[in-house]
Amino acid sequence: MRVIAKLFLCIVLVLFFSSFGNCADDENCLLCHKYRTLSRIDETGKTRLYYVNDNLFHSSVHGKIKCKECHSQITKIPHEENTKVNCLNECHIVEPTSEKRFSHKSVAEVIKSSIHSPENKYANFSKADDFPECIDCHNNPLFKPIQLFKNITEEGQSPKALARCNLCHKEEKFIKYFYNHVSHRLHTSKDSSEIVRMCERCHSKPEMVKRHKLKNAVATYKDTFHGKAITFGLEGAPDCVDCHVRENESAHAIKSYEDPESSINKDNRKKVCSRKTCHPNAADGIEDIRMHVVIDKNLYKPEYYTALGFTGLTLGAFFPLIVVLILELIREIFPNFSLRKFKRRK
Amino acid sequence: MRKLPLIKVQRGKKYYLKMTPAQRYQHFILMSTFILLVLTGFPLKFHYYPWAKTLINSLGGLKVTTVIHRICGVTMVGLFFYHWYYLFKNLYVYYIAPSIRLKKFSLKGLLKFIYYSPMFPRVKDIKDVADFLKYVFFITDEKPKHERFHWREKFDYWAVFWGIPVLGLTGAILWFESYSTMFFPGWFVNISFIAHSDEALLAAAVILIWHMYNAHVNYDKFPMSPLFLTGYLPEEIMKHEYYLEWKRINCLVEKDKSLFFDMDEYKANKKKEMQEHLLHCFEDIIDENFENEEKKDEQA
Amino acid sequence: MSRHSNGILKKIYAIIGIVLLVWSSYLVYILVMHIWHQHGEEVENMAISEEEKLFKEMMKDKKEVTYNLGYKVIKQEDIEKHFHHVGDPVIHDSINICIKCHGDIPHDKNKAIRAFLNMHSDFFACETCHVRVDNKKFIWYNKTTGKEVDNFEISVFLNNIPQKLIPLLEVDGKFERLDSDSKRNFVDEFRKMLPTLSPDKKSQGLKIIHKNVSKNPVKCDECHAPSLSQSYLPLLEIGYKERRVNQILSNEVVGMVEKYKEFYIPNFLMPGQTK
Repeated sequence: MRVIAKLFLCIVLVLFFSSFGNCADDENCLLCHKYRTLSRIDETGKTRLYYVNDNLFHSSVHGKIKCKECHSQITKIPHEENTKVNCLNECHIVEPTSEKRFSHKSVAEVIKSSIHSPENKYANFSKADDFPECIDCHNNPLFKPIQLFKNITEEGQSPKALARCNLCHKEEKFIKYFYNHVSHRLHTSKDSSEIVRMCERCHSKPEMVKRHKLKNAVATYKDTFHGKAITFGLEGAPDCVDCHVRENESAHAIKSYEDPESSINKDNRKKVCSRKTCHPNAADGIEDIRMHVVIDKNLYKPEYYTALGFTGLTLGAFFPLIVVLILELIREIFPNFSLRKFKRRK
Repeated sequence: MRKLPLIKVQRGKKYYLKMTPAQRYQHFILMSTFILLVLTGFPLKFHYYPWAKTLINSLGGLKVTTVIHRICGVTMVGLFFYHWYYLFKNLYVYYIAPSIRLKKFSLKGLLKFIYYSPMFPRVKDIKDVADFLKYVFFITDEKPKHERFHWREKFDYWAVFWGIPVLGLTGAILWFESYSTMFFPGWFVNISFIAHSDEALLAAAVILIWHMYNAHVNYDKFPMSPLFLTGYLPEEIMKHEYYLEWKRINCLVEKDKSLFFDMDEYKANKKKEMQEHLLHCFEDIIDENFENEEKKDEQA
Repeated sequence: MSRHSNGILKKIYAIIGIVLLVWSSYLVYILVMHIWHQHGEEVENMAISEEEKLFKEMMKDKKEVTYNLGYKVIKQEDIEKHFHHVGDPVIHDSINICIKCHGDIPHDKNKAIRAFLNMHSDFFACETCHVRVDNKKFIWYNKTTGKEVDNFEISVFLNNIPQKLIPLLEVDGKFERLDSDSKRNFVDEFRKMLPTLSPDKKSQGLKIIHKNVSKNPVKCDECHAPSLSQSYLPLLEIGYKERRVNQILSNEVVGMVEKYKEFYIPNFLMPGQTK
């Protein structure tokens, strides 16, 4: 019985790997890159890891794409040095509606109009190096199917839903991939804490913040109730994208607050706050509540003086009390050392 | 209303009254809401520490703690209003009503009554502080003699008196953020946020260190004073810390013996009574049996 | 507790009390002042040089990220600008003596093959290649406990496994582990004493520690050889199944090794030896 089970497992494994092996690893890159410790330390002291987790790669949106389609500069073994992936490459996947080869070019165009482009007129500092590339925000997006159904499989799919697809579409692999692709797109691929972490990469880097004449937006955000809600895992709490991106627009089109088109421009801000799921009854003036408070005398005077006052009050009230207690304890160590001795009459 | 005994004797030890039941209940509500507010509020203020998440999760997650925090906040503010009522009620019962009855009511008398009420800061407190400083700087070895509430307790009391309105008001602004901008400018919500959390930190620091030391863990009371549970203090602490109050109570009790309540004697009497009662019953039964037998004999 | 009790007790109480009060007020101070420098990292970091920044970055703990996919949660190391997911963390070898100084990713010199060499250090102890033994006997040990692992069979590739291979040294007819307890103790002691040792003692110590290290370590093609009999490692004896042996000695691997023929001996493994 056990032999049969083992045999069966082997067959399944072989089928599993061979099926994916065909679609993504024609070049047998994984011969080497499947090793977790394939790595080195580079000249700047950073660890370079060349490992690709096969399993995770196949549950990602790029799971069907061959290594070479992105790593197109690599042609030989040993590999060329300093090769780079260009996300705007046209890959061999055909976009079904246009029947053209797929590319991320349209994303690049949207980025161009956003504040994340050095050409944007609201940018305070326009050195191209400082502006994000795809890799700065994105790693390989993992499929995150919706979880509406009971009896979800290990890949997050509903067998019942798959059965419905099965009626017309025959190829299992295609159905699963398509299922994941569609259900993954039905919500944001990053959850709120991931988004905050993503923005934090740049927006809390001190030198970056200074060059662009900004403040540490993420740290100040984390200090608001919005940020705290996310820290403590409250679902549906607003992250950076929720406020800074216009409703029903891509996060790639994010604008400067000075831009009249921006969702957080002074004139549009109230609309953002009073969204149905947020503060629907908000009174006028809610847009004036500051979400990125820094304790800075020149920038936010009332906050600065309140903080100053309460810090003074706290320390000014608390430390004298502690001093009183310490003095009393010192006095109790030496009960008989006083100058005048009344000595209670007993 | 039954008068509370000022001195209770239990197991041969004398206990002096310091807090009436009403005060004890108020303290108890204040204490429990305060602890819950600190537990649910501080993880939010110090969200960057790892313990914050653990604490919130152990209390049932953010959704639960926000509700706990609000319920406790409302209760505490309610207590604050009740306390105002309690103050005016006492003012009426102990000064206004008797003085009107005796036709001696005057504004001066009223102010004097307030001034001499136990929690009101007085000139004597300043003197006590000076005496205390003399004591701790080794000038004298005599400690100041206190009345029912000494200056440290008055400090606690007034800190809470100032703290609750500040925390309550700022808390309400943060709670009803959608409406608060109707009455205040936007930055007011921001400063409420700062004020709420900073004032809470001050309160927590003072209560957890200063108040806990004074009331519970100092050498004479270590590890816990029974006061907040029973309302009575043992004589040694009373005499040591509240000498004037101790003297006053002794005086009062000497005049009116009904204010003195000997628990031991009471218990002993009760026991005796019980025994006598049992004996009685026993005798009755024996008598009855005896009579029955007599009757039987007669019948026979 | 009665206040009439022991005076000494009271003094001890007071001293403990003072210490606790000072400590607690320090805590309160830290907590109160948070509001003033929680966003103030800027000032602190601006002044330091690129090198210092790198050093600071290096000293930071590794960050871990979680991806909640709904049906499963993935925890992994957070590597900046890294596209592919890595999944499970590396199982670290806390037993090997060499790693204590040389680190887990020691190979650096030869551009073409350094990553390959580092990859092998996942399942081979440094000694496997850097100490040539005549009478070949190898054992697998557990990376966390150091204990010998018996009957270890290998039919698929070794990836992030809890075992490591180490050669045994023949001393007077007996086989001894290269990382014997006495050697381990010596290395630990030496590392501890290093700052106080005189310069010549340091060199002596290094010489003793690296006594067995061979001048030319085992090369790629010595194991990935055309046939089993030509392979340096007795692959079958150390537990590789025949199928896997065939893969290791296959044209694919051996052919690739041929492409990386140029070899380099990292001389930092051999103090006192210049190239």
